[in-house]
Parts: sequence; C-alpha cells; structure tokens
Amino acid sequence: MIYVTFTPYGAFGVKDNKEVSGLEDIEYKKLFNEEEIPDIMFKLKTQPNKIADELKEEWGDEIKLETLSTEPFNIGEFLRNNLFKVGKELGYFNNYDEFRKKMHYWSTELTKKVIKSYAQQKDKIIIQVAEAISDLDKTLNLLSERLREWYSLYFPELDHLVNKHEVYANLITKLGKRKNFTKSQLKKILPSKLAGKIAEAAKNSMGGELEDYDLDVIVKFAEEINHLYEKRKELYNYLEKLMNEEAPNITKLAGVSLGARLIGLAGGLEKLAKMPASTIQVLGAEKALFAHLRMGVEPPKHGIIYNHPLIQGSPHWQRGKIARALACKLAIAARADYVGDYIADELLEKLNKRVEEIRRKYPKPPKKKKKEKPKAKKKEKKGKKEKSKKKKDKKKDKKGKKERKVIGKTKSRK
Amino acid sequence: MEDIKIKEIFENIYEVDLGDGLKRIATKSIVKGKKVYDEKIIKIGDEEYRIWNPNKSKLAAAIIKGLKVMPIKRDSKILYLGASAGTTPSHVADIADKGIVYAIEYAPRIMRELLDACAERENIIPILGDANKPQEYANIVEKVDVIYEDVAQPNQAEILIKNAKWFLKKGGYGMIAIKARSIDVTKDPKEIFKEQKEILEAGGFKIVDEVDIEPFEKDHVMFVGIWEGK
Repeated sequence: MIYVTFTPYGAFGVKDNKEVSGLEDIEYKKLFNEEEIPDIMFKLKTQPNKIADELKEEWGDEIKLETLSTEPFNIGEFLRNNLFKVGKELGYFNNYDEFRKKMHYWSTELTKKVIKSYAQQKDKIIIQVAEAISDLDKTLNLLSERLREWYSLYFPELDHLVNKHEVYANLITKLGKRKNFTKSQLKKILPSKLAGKIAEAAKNSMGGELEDYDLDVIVKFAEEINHLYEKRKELYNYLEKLMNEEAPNITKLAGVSLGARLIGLAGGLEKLAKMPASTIQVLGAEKALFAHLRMGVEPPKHGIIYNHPLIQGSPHWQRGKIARALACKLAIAARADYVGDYIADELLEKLNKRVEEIRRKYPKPPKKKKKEKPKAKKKEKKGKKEKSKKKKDKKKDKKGKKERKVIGKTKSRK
Repeated sequence: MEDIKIKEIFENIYEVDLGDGLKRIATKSIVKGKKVYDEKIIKIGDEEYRIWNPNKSKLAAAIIKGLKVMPIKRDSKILYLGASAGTTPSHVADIADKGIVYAIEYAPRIMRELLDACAERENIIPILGDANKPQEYANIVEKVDVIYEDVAQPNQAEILIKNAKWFLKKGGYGMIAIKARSIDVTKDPKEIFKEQKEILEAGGFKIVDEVDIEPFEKDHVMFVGIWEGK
C-alpha cells in the first residue's frame, strides 16, 4: 500500500505510511508540468478515484490518497512543513515571492474551473429560471392590481366581471375605450355569455369620462403587462424543457413548477437526491418544523408539496398521509434523476395505488377527542386534568430538545 | 489632512486619529489605489492606509475592543476559514505582507467576489472548499502559524480543532469568532461561550485571550488560543 500526498507541483508516496524526514526518504515521486497544474488539481478535487487508479497502474501497488483520508499522513506532514523548501529543491520556485505568486495563480485557476463546473450544472439554471418566474408572478400581480385601480376610474364594472389579470390587461390593450367594448368585439376574446354582460355594463357604466391622452397612458401600461405575461409564458416553456431533460421523474410526479421549486429549496438536484423523504415532505415549512422541534407544537404535515393536486384535492385528514407517500416517491424520483434513470411511470402507478388505498381506508374524518372533555370536567377532576396536561407538555419539550440536537449535527455535516 | 496622527499599535496595524475623537484602525494597503469594499482610504506620504471598519470585520472589532494578543504578524502564514467576500482577509493580507493567507470559502457564489477581491493580492491563496473536510485542501495548504476562523457553524469549535490537527504548527495560534446565535438560539450566549471554550481547551488549545465584540456584533466573542497539539 502506497500512501500518497499531493502538493500543487507533484504527487509523493511512501510505502505503509512511513516517517519522512527528508526528500531522500520519499520512494515515489511524480512531478507535474507547470502548465498542467491547475488541471491536475481540478481532477484531484473532482475525480480522486480516477487519479488513484492511474497512479496504481504507474507505480504498481495499491494507492491510498490523503485527500480521501480523515487523518493526515506522515508524508503529508513532512510536505506541509516544507512546501516551499521542497518545491525550491525541485526547481519550481527560486524565492518565496515566486512561491506566493505561483500558488496564488494555480489556486485561482483551480477555483475558476470549479466555479465554472458548478455554473454549467443545469439544475442551477433551473433554480434561476424558477426564481425568475416567481419574481415575475409577484411583479405581475402588483402591476395588475394597479391597472385595475387605475382603469376602474373609467370603467369600474369591468373589475368584477373579469377575474383573470391576464385577460383584463389583454382587454384593455385590444379595446381601450369603453365604446369599443361591444358584444361582437368581446366575443373574439371571451365566451359569449360574459361578452354580453360586459357589453351591457359598458353601455351603462358609472365610470367617469377620460381624455384620450389620459386613456392612452393606461393602455400603454396594460400593453407592458401583457408583454410580461408573454415573457412569463416563454420562461415557463423553457423551464418545462429544462425540467424534462434534467429531472423527468420529478417532473412527472410533481409537475414543472413544483419540481423546480423543490430543487430550488434543496439547493440543487444533487442535494435533493441526498435528502431523506421526511425532509422533502416538509421542505418549505422550515418555520413550522423548527417551531415543532423547539416548542413542541404540532409538526407540519407538508411543506411546499402542499401545492400538489393530489394533496390539495384531498380532505384535510388524508393530506398528511398522502404527503408522506408523495414525499417518499419524490425522494426516489430525485435519486433516479440524479443518476439518470427514468422510472417515473412505475413510481406514479405505485403512488396512485397508495393514494387510493388511503382514500379507501380513511373515508371519513377522524372523530375529535374534544367531545370527551366536557364529560371529564363534569366529574370534578379539574385539578388532575390540568396536572396531567402539564406533564404532557414537559414531555413534549424534552422530545423537542433531543431531536433538535440531532438536527444540528446533520446540518453541520453539509 | 494635516492633523492626521498615526500610531502602530500591533505589527503593521495602525491607529489613525483623524481629529474627530473616533478610534479608527487601518492597515497599509499592499495594492495601492484599489478598494476591496467601500472602505475609506487615506494617504500619508507615499503610503495608502485602508480604514478597517469594525462593523464589517470581527477582527477589527476585536482589536478596537482591546484584543491583547495579536498573533498575525508581517511574515505570518495564515489559514483563514470562512473568507467570505474578502473584507477581513484583505486586511489580514495587508498585515501579513511578507507572509501568506490561505483563504477557504465554501459557497461558489461568494467565491466569485473573493476572487475579485484578491485578484491583485498575491499573498492570498483562494481555495473553494469545506472547512469541515480539511483533507480536501491539504494538497494546497501548508503548515501555518495562525488559523483564523469565522464560519458561523454550530460545530465551529470542532472545525478549528480539526484544521489545527492538519495545518497548525505546534505553538501556533488559533483565533475564532464565536457567534452564539448560530450555535443555539435558545441558550444563553454566556453559557454557549463557556461551552465552546471548554471544547477548544479539551481539543488542545490554551486560551490566552478573549474579547467580547459588542456593540459591533451582538453575542459574539473572539477567542485566541495557543495550540498545544493533540
């Protein structure tokens, strides 16, 4: 077994973790060309096992790399004590200034490479696109609310008749003046029943009259909002494409938006793939989760996966159970996406089966225990009841503390 | 400009009196004419001094609050854990102008800013790595005189000890900014500081200085310890 330590300028090894006190004690040496150094450092960081295999072939013995060990090697200790001196002896540096300059250059180049490789990961793009869409949604809501208030000075009835912001902005862009809100014009955009109502309202509107140039400004504003809606559609299509390429399993199970947001909350596909299902279940409900762990209040049933139609479309007493099943399947889906398998159809089938089972088993809400309370009160056991309650609370507190400690540890591992 | 008084309080660290009664410290810039963040620069003769803002740097806050032991010297080798965007490391590099600063940062996003900040400071070696796994950057970092840590992690004391085992010379110094809030929000900060001190001492550090850096940062303490080995 050869114990190998890397420096920026070379790989050094000794058999069986021997003590090293000078360059002459080092049995295996591989020196690098200066131009290749950042590349080699990058490879060591990203594919250390590959490097170990290559060295094994070259030196003809099993290789143990210090970068994969939790304890420092003796040879590593020697090299770290003499990093400049050894490098100087091997001809890489003439003086300390040069050492600093080269170390700075190599490390900067390495860091740039690593950052570049991170930025090229598609899941980082997914996160940004999903965030951009959510920013657009917020902005669009804000601007649309303003548009409604503004245009209502002129045509207040329209506000209640058209609920969708997008349609509302579209109507103003296309028609603008109240007199253009005729049934024949409206029919091109809306269903005829609603078109009739709006046309009627436009005729008898209680809105004030506006000068053309006052109205123009509003129409321009509505146009901009429409542009933003188009932009949002474009982004959504792009996100859909990305998600289908990068995370087909998650997309199939959770849909485009929810899937992207899960990846975003986890901080990347890799991180999501490494999460336990229970964490995925409460992603996005961190506040409630920590309130539970600290204060012992009820734990959250679901985080962001609440937005899934399977959960939203179910009665409240089934939601927790469905959330758990969904999170389990999502955890598997994330792992499959991470390694590049497609197993979504199978997963979806199993999930639907399980959901059906839950619905069959729990068709009615559980009976509330509250009904028993007044009976107990009647039997004048108030004092005892309160005491037992207190005890329960204390127990919960203790539980919370214990669990919190565990969480701290897992967090630090990162 | 005429009234500026300057006094060296530690090696290569200066107290600047601009005549307004405020206590300010500064370091001599090794890259003239370049700001790292929005620090104030004053010129005296040929030299440029960068004012070191204690609200942005815990080390500056500790010095102003009366740090007694300052192990970072002109020729020190320093391992800096949690370099962030490079505010404090740039000043540390100013002080150790004959030495070297290995700056570890975990987040790629922040690393971009650090790279920018240290582009012309050749005594800063930027390293993208996880301070929890010293083996992953052991191929770059050599044995150092000082480890400075500011990572705001629940296990930050253990991280310092782990890194000391790999990189700190015997008799070298560890400096750590402890943030009570990031260890446990519910506990009393004083209790946390005591606990963390015990962890450091059990791990092999002899604590020689301790500074509370209120009011610059809430519930923060800076510990300085000498490494006595395992």
